[in-house]
Amino acid sequence: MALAGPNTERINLQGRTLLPGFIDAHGHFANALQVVAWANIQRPPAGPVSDIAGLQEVLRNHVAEHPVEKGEWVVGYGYDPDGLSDGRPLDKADLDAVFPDNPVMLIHNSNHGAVLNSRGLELAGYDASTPDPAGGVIVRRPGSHEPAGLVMETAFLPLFVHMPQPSDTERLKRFAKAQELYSSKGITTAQDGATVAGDLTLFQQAAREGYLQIDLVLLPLVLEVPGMLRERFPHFEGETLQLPKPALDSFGTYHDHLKLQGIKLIVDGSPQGKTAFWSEPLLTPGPNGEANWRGQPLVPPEVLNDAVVRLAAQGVQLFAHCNGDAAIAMMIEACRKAGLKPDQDHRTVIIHSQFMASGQLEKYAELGIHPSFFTVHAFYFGDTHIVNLGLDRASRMSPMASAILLGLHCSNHNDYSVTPIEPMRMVETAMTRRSRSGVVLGESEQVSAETALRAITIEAAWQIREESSKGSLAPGKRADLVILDRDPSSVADDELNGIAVVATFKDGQCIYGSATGAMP
Amino acid sequence: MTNVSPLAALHGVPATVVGGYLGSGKTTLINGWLQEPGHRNWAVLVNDLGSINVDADRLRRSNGRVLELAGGCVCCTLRDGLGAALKQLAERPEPPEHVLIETSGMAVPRRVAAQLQLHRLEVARVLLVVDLERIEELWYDQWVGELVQQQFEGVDVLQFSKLDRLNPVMAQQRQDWLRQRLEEQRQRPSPPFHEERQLVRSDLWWQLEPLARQQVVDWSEQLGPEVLRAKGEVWLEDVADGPVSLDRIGNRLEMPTQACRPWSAPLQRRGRLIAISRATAPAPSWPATFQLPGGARN
Repeated sequence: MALAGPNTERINLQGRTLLPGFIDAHGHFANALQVVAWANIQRPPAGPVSDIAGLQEVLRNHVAEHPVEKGEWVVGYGYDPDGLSDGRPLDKADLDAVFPDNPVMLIHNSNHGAVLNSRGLELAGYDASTPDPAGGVIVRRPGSHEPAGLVMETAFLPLFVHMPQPSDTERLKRFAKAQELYSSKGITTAQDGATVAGDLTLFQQAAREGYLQIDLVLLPLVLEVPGMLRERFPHFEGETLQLPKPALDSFGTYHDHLKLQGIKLIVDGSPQGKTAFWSEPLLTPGPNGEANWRGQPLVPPEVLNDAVVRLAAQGVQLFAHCNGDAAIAMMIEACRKAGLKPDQDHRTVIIHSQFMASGQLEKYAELGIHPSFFTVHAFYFGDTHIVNLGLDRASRMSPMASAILLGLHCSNHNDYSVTPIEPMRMVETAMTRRSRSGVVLGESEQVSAETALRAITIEAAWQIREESSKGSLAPGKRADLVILDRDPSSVADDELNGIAVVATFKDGQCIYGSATGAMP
Repeated sequence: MTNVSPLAALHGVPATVVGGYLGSGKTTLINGWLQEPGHRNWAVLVNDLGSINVDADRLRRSNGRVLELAGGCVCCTLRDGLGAALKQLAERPEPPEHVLIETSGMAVPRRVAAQLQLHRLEVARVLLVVDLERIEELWYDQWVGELVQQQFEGVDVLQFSKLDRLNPVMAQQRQDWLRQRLEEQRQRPSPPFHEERQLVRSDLWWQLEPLARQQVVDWSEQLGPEVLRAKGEVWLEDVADGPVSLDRIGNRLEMPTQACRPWSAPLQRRGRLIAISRATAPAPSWPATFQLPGGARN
């Protein structure tokens, strides 16, 4: 209070909890620009749907708000057959009843499939004569070849071609709503953690024209970097992955709330999709029925090593997506070959660091690598991981307690839109590591509420080199703040995810809710 | 707005998938072959580990040494690179005569082909370029060995590169070694080998009238060694409910007695065969028109 002056506004929080604004340690803001135009058909608490009639109602309301022309797609996200009380999954006829003339696509909550209505199936060209593609399934009505509506995996992929692609003008209009997804959860710094060339241009325009209210951190996807450079520096001729000086200088500084922080590498896929890269086989067959499946890297070691050497030598901070222990081993090896050491303060982050083998955290410490964990996997995919990996291996997911003992800076993320934006579920799962069905995955890795909160505040700030201005409540730091209705360190575990955001402040301005507690 | 697929212009357009591990020589093979005047209206999609870029310039510049990393899974990026690239092609005023996909060194070409089929292109051939000099070492590599082995799945023809770097005895040994590995793995004949420095040719035939099973068997038996593989679906007089799959590797013909799927509509019955031949071979004969050795038209 020593800093209070005559113009200082004093607010009595009446027992509510004030915390630093949450920092999205890893997620995909660009996806929010898509999703805000889709109907939310998730089950509670993330959405309103608990039966088929309710789902139809949500879709009707959605098109009342977002009118569609005849023939245009209606898209919903978060379909979860386990959340329907009807005792049967959705059938195309349920959707035809509401939309006889519009194709409908309801994306499965795994993001690896969707339910289509008859128009949608027709447009995709799927009928009784279409065989299931390798690695995918067109679900049929019982006792027939006729598609029922749900298509998964490789049968789902071709549908993206049909998905309406909003223009940049349309996407700019969605920035307010997309940012509200974050600010309504107390997030004041969001991330686009795999930025593609077209999106970089859009984000820069959005920033320049004042569309950004919260801070947005970009990690260009390495694959897209050559294209980004060609567009901005058409005459620059350098070696592979060499960045011209102005490009290098553009990292690390905000301009109108937008900052490039590092480059994103992707080493493997996802554990729930069985496309992560492990050192030992899974207990279940691979995504295409393969026996002894342990997944695959997305990039050969020689390419990864070369990219890490070249980028690290230019001082670029690296963020590498690695889920399985073999992918993690590849990245550790690449960092070792590049001569990375902790005293260089390079802050290389291995995003997910999900299924780590013993000894790997020690190597992180040795080389100066830090993990960004994904503990909500325990809730969303924990039961699946137990089936695929067995309880012992599944319990090694996101080993936060061990990492902290070694002095590593651990952040935690939702990887939106892979899982919903739920900071409190991150806190809950870091503390409990409990699956949807109630199994605890690795009790010894449970952490305290304070540690769980640090992972989405000060440690997340550290990983993007903002620990001196964000992530804690201290004089001189930015007034990025969130007010919660209860204190996460004093409520029961099962109430954590029910804690509500009362207000969110960015640089002292209230951008969501109200400080006096009038509910938004 | 009518319900028309954005890829309608590409439906039925033949497609070639060229796979092969990083550095196997795909780009060299494709570049040589693009220079042929007959291939002027072909489109080439290059997948550098996940991202597809239709810029042919890039293909020339990259020269097999692309340093770009993977694009990740669709659930993180909410996009499908292959579909998006095909959509761009479909929007061109003149759709391509043929689409050629150079997959990433880490892709399983059969899976790329499956995606093309779902987009309703006609997959004319799936080739795997194999660097005979490195294949044995890659086969057992601790990081990518399993992937390298998987890349052979469902491939129509193996296209060898860098044969000139091995002496003829060594080259033969490597081929024998590879054939053994593949047959052990699949318990069936390995895909045919092709050593010329050009891509194999591929011809497509539509069958609009049903044929007797024996006629198809006779046709298969008289095909010469220049036809490396024939595959597709045939419409047989003795199977009413759908087409029957056909696959001929070497002299071995697989043609089950059951339909492989129902007809899409009773009035849309037809068969479709693809013959993959050596680069220098003439166009093959087809079951409805071939001449039996005796000269009688069958």
